[in-house]
Amino acid sequence: MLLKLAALGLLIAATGCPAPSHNQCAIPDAGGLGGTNDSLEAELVAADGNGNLVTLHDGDHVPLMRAPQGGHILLVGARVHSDDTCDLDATGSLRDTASNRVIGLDERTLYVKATGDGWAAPEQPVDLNAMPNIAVCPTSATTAAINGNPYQLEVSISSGGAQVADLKITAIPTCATDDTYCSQECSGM
Amino acid sequence: MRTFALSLVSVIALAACGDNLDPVAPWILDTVEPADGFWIRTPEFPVASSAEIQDCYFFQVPDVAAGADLWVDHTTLALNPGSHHMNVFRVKTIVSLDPATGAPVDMGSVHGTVIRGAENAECWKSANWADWPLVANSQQSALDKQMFDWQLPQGVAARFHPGEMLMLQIHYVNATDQVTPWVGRGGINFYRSKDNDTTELGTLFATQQNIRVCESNPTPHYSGACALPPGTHTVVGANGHFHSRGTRFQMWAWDGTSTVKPDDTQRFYDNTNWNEPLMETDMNVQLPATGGVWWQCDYQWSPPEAGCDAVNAADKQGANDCCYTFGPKVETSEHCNAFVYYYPKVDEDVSCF
Repeated sequence: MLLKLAALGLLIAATGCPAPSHNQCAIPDAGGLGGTNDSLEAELVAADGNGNLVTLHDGDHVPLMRAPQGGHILLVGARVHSDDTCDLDATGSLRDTASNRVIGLDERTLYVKATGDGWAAPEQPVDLNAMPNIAVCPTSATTAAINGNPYQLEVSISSGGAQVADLKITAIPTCATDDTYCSQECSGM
Repeated sequence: MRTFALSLVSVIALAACGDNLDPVAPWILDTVEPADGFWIRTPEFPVASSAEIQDCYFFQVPDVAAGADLWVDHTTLALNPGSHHMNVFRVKTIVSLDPATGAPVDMGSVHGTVIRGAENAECWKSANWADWPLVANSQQSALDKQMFDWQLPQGVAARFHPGEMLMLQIHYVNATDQVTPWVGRGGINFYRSKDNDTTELGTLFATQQNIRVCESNPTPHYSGACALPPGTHTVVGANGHFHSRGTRFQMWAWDGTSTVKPDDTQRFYDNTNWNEPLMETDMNVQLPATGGVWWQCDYQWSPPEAGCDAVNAADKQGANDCCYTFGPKVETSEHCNAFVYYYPKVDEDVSCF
């Protein structure tokens, strides 16, 4: 048995770091199949271009980041109350409350990693794939400026097809001060 | 009309292919007289084994309407087998892909310039055409179906200004995922409207820019929604684009306010063929008044034929998990692009990325 364990250790060492696990997060049982709308305690977070993860509160500025093919996105997700390193599904969107139109929306897997404090946060926030990329500039959904104006930022979390958290705040998408391309593209039409 | 003759290279290439291709032959398109529109052809070019070629051709819309705008209600796009795509865009902001730096090239009824991706990597970098609206595209180059002919609905036409600069981008592959049996070549005929069409065709180009299809997470999907300008719009054509890990590409009519995927009764595009993806035309899908398009790409990871080294090298995250990430190379990266044609166009074409 020891020999087998040693062999397994050698095999892992030889093949490099193990690939991250991709199991669904365990959701507290709130009495319903797969949880309820607020069965998972969660907080909205956003990443900046340096990979810093910031918890968002009502009225906060959210960085507008340049996307590889052009345009500007909000990179947003959630910290969740979980000891798991696991996967959830996240839909991020930005809404113009005046018209109720969704300006940009992105749905993808949210990879979270346990941070040792009872919470799990998105892995590799510097990597654009880690959280929903909400493309907001350019947009045809509004003629108002995205940069510097308040909009409703929404992140819905689901597990196994059932919504387990629904987060909404007022947020102000904001270009970096030295990003003139962003200022032009997100200035409205 | 006259027929644009195939070159000796093409004939030799065809003859060398043997009986297995008989009676299939490279496409032949009639040329178009100015009274009827204009035509463009790329030169033929070899696509060596294991090669991926992407070239960017630039040309100006000829003045065939005595200085007036040209309305086009009928196009024919043709590609020799092995093409990954041929896209046409309207040139807007010049970043690092400048038509003026290209080599002169005869393109049939127009002269233009070409920037070859093998010599200038800018032809591969999509940020260079980020704000260039889509005009037309084809991914159809099967041996038995090399031409795609599209007559727009009555009253609808694409509008061009004489002298307007367009880019034709053509991508060929001769490797594991796609094979080019002869030579690369593309052509388009633009036929002018003669029945006073006044409703302008609009285009929507939407893409997921951040994709990871990894060995440890082999079946991801990505969804997005793209809003159109206010007003009622009708979709008349659509096609999706991904690479060989793509298993299903779907599009739905979206109400513009919901953040959950529309009901499948709203689905207007559903394709499972990555290599020759379905090009839906003759559609008549009316979108909600403040709505747009929701799209989704599903993937299934598969091991690269040449091993994971090149795939891992392209992964900026360095996860060493054989992850295909966003990029133009068919063999080593993935895409999730939606091409949608609708009317009426309002102000500008639509991009979501």
